[in-house]
Amino acid sequence: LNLGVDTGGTFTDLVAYDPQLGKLVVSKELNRGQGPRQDLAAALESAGIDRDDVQDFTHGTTKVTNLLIERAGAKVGLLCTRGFRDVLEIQLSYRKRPFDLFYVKTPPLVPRHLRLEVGGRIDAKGRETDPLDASEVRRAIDELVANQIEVLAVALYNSYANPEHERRIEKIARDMGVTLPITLSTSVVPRIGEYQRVSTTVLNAMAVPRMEEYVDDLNTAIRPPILYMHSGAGVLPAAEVRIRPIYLAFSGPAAGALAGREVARQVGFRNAITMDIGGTSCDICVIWNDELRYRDEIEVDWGIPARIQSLDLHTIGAGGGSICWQDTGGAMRVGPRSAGAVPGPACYGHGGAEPTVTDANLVLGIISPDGLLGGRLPLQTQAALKAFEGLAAKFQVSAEDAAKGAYSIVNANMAQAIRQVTVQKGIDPRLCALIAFGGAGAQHATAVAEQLGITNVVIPAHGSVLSAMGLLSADISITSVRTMLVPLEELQSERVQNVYRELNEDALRRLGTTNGSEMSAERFVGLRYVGQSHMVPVNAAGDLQAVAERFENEHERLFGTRLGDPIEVVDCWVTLTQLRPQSKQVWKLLSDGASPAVAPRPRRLVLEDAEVPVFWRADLKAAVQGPCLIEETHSVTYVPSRAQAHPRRSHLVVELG
Amino acid sequence: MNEGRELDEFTAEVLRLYLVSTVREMVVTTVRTAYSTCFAEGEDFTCGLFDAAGKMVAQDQGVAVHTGGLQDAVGHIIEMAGPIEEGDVFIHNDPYRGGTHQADVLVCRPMFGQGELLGFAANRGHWSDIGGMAAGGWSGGAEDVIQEGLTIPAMRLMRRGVVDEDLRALLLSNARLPRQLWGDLQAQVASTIVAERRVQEVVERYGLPGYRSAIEAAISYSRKRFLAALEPVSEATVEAEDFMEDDGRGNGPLRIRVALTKSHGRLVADFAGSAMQATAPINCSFACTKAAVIVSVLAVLDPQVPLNRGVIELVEIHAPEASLVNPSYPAPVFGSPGDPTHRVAEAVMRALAKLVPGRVPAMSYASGQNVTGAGKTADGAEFLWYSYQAGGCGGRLGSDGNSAEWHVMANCKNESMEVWETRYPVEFVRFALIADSGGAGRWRGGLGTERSFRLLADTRLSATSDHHLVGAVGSDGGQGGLPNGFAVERAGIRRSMQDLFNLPSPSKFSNLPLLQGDVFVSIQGGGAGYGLPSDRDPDGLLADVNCGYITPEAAATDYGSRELSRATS
Repeated sequence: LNLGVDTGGTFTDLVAYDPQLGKLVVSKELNRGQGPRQDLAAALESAGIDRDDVQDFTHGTTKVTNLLIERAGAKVGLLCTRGFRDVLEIQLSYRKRPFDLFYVKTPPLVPRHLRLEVGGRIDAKGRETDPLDASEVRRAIDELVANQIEVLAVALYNSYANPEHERRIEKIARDMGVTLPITLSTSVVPRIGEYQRVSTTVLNAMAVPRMEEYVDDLNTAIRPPILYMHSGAGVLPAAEVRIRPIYLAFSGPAAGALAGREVARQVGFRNAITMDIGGTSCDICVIWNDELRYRDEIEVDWGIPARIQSLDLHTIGAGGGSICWQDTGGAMRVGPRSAGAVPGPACYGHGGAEPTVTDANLVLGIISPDGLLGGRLPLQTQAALKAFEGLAAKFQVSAEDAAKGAYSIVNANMAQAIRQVTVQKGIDPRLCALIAFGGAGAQHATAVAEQLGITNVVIPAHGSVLSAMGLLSADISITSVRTMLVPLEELQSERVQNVYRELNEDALRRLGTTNGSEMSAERFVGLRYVGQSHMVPVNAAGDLQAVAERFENEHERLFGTRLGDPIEVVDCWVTLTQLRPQSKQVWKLLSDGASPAVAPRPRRLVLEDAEVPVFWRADLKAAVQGPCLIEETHSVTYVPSRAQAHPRRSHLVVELG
Repeated sequence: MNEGRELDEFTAEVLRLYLVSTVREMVVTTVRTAYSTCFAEGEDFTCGLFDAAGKMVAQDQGVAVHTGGLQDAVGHIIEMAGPIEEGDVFIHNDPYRGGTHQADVLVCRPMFGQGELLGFAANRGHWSDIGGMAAGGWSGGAEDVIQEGLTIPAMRLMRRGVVDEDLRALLLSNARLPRQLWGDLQAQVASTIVAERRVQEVVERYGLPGYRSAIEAAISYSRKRFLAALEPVSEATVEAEDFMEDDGRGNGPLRIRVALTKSHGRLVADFAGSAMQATAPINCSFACTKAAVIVSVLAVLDPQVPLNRGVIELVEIHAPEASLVNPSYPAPVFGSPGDPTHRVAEAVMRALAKLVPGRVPAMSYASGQNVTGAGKTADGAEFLWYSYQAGGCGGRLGSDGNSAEWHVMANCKNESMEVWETRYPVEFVRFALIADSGGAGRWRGGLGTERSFRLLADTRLSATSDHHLVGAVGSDGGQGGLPNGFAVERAGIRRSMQDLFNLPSPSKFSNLPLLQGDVFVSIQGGGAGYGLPSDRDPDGLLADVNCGYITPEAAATDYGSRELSRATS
């Protein structure tokens, strides 16, 4: 049995399939908050799976994300180079709201009394200009330990150019008998940029003790080795997660985007945008030419960066629970505040009184009054109407018109986010298909697509557990990186080639024992024109001319210019990949879901100002013309007039006219 | 396709968001294509959209000081342009016609669709060099605007899509770092291409009337929202003043005085009584004065109001000609966006504090602390660096001031010191918060910063700064913050720049020769305190002492905490 388990804040999603029997089981279970082992046991039980049958287990978790966002990580002690302990607190000095006089800066990740300085200095060329003083280091470590830190972080100035001092500090600490976990900046992010490096190092350290517990707890629950989804949409062995948990910061949404690419492939789109809309947020990712887009830095909080390889994911505060309101300029706003699960939208009848996006969609007739989750969650249309009447009065319009306004504004927010993400990558969204999933994805997909000029929308099969499907699609991948500031001409030099070999060995070592299937190593290089600030990553294969050509093409695609100027290397990295062909077989087993006992009735759709037919997705064997609604257990797709919906390999493709 | 009718209010709102998002796209495009760290990492530029008459519709809250005169500059371009054609791109930096200072160069593209002029997209960015007597500008010794750098009147950089090679040659021959300059200029141009494309899409989809009603929605939204914020403010005239402490020649302080009147849903700022203009770069170009008034008014009343014509039209600004805040040609103005703007903003905020008590923080460090260094490395390569830095902001009703944060008139990202060391002959010694630099108060001022680096080559230093003699002034019984400072450590001894070079001013100078091995020390001071120090929460004070934000000695003297001085003695 191959198992994919995605644990979010509220639910644990499970997908299991048996390659011999060709059987697929999915389940969605509420978390009980008693640790990962218990959540897993509950999910297995509800799916009727015997843990001893599991041969292969892939896991995605929002644990690291939540730890960091809620600042619930461990107590960190930080050692810095003399003169630089405040770098972590000064941050980028860049205000989130430039004109806000009452803006409170993000507090430092480590309080000042736990950030200690030591002498010793490496210069920009990696030469030691001032030796480390071992006795001073010992005194500092003693002081931090006396302050009951749970983990030690070391981030020295210029260490990217030479990690020697950081390694010596680790050795000194171990020789002193310190058994705490230690995170060195050069072991997490040996790249230039003192602030981003110290921030990433500390974030990693904050997560280490909790993730050690997590991994160890889960290891006792199940026999096969567990693989964890990282932010770059590959999977890592547990041993790596214990040391570098920061790589898991976007574990959950990465799996969804990866599944989105599988779906895009199955229905034949090479360019796509994935949009995962849940209760409070909307995650966006771009796929171009069948490739997922990556970034090398994410932001955990305002001004708090983590330099890790990650899918280029963007999150905005827009989802089913987002609250609709009027601001002081008289305009309608939707979100970012959400009604959450409790009290939830007004129509849940759990005491929510403010109008939400879900309420709007119910008023508009997109969502069936018969309820969500296949009727397990009944909805109160009157409560939704009442919530919207209050808001509508402020605009002097009808409740239906206000709901329509809310619908188009939340869609505009999502379209705006997609526009920004794509332009950043030099991509025209109109050339992409929109792949929408998550509880509310299908309700908004066609409208968002229309605002962007996108003509193809895909609603995947098993959309409500798509992230768990994505886990099973992931290959093992690990990246090892280092800053190397040299002219491009030196890329083939012995020195740089040695660095690539070292990076390769480092990645191999971190991967540990593997399943023995074939492994491929790819070399990458981050390049820029001399004098620029941002680098463009390209594959480092081939001769200098080929690499330069690749860079200039990519630069032109991204920025529209080809400068022909001298080029320099910034970073080198190696990515090792080991394919997992077997687990991907799950995509052959998709089903159209179950049919209901009673056929759905037509209902009035305010957006079309007409009564429209409602189809059950599992019954759809041929194309249908909009306007109509297509229902399934966990979601409903709005097909506008002038659009056609086609079932394709269990997925639904909506073509907008 | 829509035949073009007026839009309902929600669709208009959707399009207003689209215009805002278009400006964001301009910003992103600039960052991704720029050459200089100043653009790409510092994000020292601002983008905006204008209607066909040149009135501001949408702008990004980029660099506050860039915003004020944008509309005037675009208006001036329209006036001078003659017949405008598709594909024309204008360039402008004239500080006497809507420009802020010469280094802030505006690129402006008329946007066309369906054969009509739809409006203008503009991008104003800080160039690392624009010629003049000091590399990188900020020449404290300049006596007129000609010495400060190249002035570019409204000109066509491109005519019907073709670059004017003559103009290009002229520009590149008059600035240091021509390659970088051209790279940044291309980035600015690229951002306006994106804007035009987006606006054309709106017109294609919603027709011209639809596009125009989106513009109207943007303007009326800002107007309504600003009026809502202004409504509860009582009708009165209040006055306040602040000072530039010297002119770099030994004269000063120089007064900036404002009378602020609210009446009939409008605000009028009158600077009568301000000092006459100076023969030193401490004058505030009128564009900067306007920016300082509008931004500080928005910051106090409602920081979320999107700035455009809707607001600009409700704030009237009068300043006597040939005064410090509205200088006449050819008074030097390069320093405008640095200190003079901050001083105007502080004067306006002091006045506002009398109208809306509790909503204005105590004063900030408030200086640009702009410094440039230039020279040649051992291998003969020319270098030029530009340094700026944030300090402590003022305490506020309910919270301490932020440390190492920009004053309201500026917002830039710190550049990486490690990256600097690979580009320039410098080696950083420290970048640290300064203990006791925040003024004491019930809510204390934020801490200032010290940024020090060793020069690995002989370097000529130029600077314009202020608040080196007197720091930020406290509010409601709070104490003042540490003043700003420039110093040099040579052979282990620290001396102020003023002392070392026997200068008339501690903060304004040009081309002073520092030597290889010197450590240049730049101190950005602290914010002032708000409320009586004796009212400070004792637990908060203890935490401050534990973290070293406040020394035990200062806890005893400034806060009268006997307990703490005993505990640590």
